[in-house]
Amino acid sequence: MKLALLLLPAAALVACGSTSTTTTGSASTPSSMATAAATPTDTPTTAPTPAPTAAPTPAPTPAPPPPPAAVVVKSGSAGGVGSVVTSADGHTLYHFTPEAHGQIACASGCTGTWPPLIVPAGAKLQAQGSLSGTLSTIKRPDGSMQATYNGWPLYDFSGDSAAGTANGQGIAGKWFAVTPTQSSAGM
Amino acid sequence: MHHSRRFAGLFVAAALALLLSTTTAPAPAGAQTAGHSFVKTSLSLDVVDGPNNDHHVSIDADVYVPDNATASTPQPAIIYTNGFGGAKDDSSGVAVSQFFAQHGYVVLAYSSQGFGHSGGVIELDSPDYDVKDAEAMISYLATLPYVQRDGPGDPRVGMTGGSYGGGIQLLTAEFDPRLDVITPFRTWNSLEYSLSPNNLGTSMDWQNGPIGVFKQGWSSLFFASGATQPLMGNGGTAGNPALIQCPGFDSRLCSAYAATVASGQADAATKALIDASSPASYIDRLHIPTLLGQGESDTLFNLDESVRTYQTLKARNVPVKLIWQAGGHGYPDQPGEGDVFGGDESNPGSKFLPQQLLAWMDHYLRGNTGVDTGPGFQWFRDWVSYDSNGSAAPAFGSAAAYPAGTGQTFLLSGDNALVPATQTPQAGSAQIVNPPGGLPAAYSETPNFQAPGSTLPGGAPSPFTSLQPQDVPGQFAAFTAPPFAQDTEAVGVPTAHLHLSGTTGQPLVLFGKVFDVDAAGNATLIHRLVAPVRIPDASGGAVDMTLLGFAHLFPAGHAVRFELAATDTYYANSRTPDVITISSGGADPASFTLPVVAAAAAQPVVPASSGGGTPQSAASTLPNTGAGGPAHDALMIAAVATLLGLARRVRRRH
Repeated sequence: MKLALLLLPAAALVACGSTSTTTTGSASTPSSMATAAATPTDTPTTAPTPAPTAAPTPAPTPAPPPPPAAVVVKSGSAGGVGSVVTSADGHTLYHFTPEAHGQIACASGCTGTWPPLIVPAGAKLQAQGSLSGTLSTIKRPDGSMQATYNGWPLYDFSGDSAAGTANGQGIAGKWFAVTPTQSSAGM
Repeated sequence: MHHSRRFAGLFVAAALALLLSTTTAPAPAGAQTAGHSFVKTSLSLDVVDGPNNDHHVSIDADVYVPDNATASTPQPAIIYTNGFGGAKDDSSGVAVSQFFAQHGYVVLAYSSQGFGHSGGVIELDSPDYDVKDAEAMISYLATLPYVQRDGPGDPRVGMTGGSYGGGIQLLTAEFDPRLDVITPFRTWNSLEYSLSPNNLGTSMDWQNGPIGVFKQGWSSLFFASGATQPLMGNGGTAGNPALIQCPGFDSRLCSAYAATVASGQADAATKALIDASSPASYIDRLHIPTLLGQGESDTLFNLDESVRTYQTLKARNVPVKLIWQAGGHGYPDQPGEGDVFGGDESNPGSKFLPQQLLAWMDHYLRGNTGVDTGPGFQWFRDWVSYDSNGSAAPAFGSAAAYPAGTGQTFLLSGDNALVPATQTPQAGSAQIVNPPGGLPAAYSETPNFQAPGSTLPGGAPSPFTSLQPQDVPGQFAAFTAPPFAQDTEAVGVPTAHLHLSGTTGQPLVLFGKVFDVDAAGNATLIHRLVAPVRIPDASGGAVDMTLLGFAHLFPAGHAVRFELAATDTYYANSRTPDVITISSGGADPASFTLPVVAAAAAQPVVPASSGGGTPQSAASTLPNTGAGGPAHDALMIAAVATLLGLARRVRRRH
């Protein structure tokens, strides 16, 4: 049953699909940004009961996929950085230093390269294994909810195609992998 | 407490930008990947700086706009500022600016205050002045529609430059979070260490240790060069009475220099002043990707300073890379290195160092993570031959990170030997004399005028290039190991563990040196490096010292020699006559540790040809007894006199 986090890339695509005023014009085309979360969840499993019958709302547009049971954040390691906080599939998660004061700075044009880790409505955000930091969410300008760790909004990097890499480390001097002991962002 | 200062002058700059001239340059013929043409615009920016944000200074700048930078396709920007004595459009500034503009970056090159056609006086990259100027340049870039932005008022911007133009990068990164990437070459970690080094201990936390031995040779050149700036029409004329003594400088720096020269030792006020201009003082604030370059023959800003900066950043996982290149202040690089901050400015795109600079910017500033920034530590091997018409890349050894070597420890034995740590050393001691007044003194090099082919200001050949390192009999002790059985590549910072005592209770001043001794007994002072220590309390307890880092091949049959000398010509020696005892053997035996790269034997090592020669580490045929004498002393006195006279007209970039 692979249903868990499929909403995430969709949300990211919506957020970044329009006018990007800050592309570089270089050859650094971010590759598939949707790789982030399509792995099977070996987590809870109470969800897959067939459609919870009580769906009274008049079904919006195309058949919405069932909400994921949980967005999972865990610890892992990445080359050149060491211990990092990762998404459920082991991809390194990043923070953006201009967001130190708890407001979103990576909006529209930015999210193509740096897809936010979105917690869909109805989904839980939970840590797997031992992560001592505080998990929470922050509301993005588009109304979606983004996962935070010790106050830092969490992002994937489109340039990481596999778990265990941290190719985004230090980019623009403002993007850094989140470590399990990441100091808190001031709110 | 720096929050309020940070945004001083931010918006003033943009408002008063004054267009002076515009030049258009076509893309260079034959440019391959560097295909962008650019337009250069000169302007003058009025910046407000000073501790109270009430000091107006005019900053002279050039903006290079490549043809790919438009409002709809904004590009990252790179800021360049000059080395000591230079300007925005000196040969280095032009070469670096054109190089990055041709690769599609918007470049802002400016003259630091006190230099070129900028106003103001020399402030030694002070956070109160020069850093605020750099912040104003960042603010100005944020107003340009064709410059990429990370947020309102926050351009995507890196910095590049060497020496004085390198220190400003580290400091600006520590004070302005908008700066994204830096590439400081040939620069300082601690100006206190640069000018009054104390290699005591192994922590390299120099500013929290006792002040060291005044490096008066280099310091006098620094001030002589700075003082000539107003005579050449550079910098502002502040009408400060102190300018009569030290034209070109902030009067506080002038006073500090005069006091240090007079006493031979920096006082507390001077320490505070130069620590304020030291990246080490605020290094915990630095978190952006940093490409460090440092010269293997540099005795102004030596390799140890680059190691200290590297290690403090690496410990916090800051993306950092360290390159040890040939040359340094006073010494040229080698063919194919392309040290654009040190006079090697032709055809940068085909050479090693500019390629490293570009890769670092492309990866971290442009965000093109497909560009490989290479190994985390690379060092020039002056014993490797390569095609001098191409890149010097083949001459560089590499490792994922510093350090590359592991320590091989020798024990001091008797009064002149080193034995492997597996053997039992002979208990014993050597005694050396510090002469009254610190003279006559040993000779290691003449700062800035030692390299073969170097010329004095005015163009006359330097008379110092043939001078070999010399020790004064009775003033040094040398400990020599058995010859190496195989080629041994040493890369890193040697250390020593010592038992020393004097007879006067006064602080001890000593100079540590490492030699390569060939089979015939000829000793070469490696890269002419000396490591001063000043030991406030030498009551016979153990002390550790850090020597100066190097990359050197000891061919099979050569031996390593560790030496301690009481004096050096271009330092403020201890003036107190003393007899210093260096003890070996015992329960806590004195030792010398050489960093050795394990894989040396696996690397292709061939005798260097003309391209890879090592002119900077000229051999001295020095027997154990040294080779001083009246003729030598007379020459030294003449040399010092000549230097001080001529240095008044020095104009070189540092």
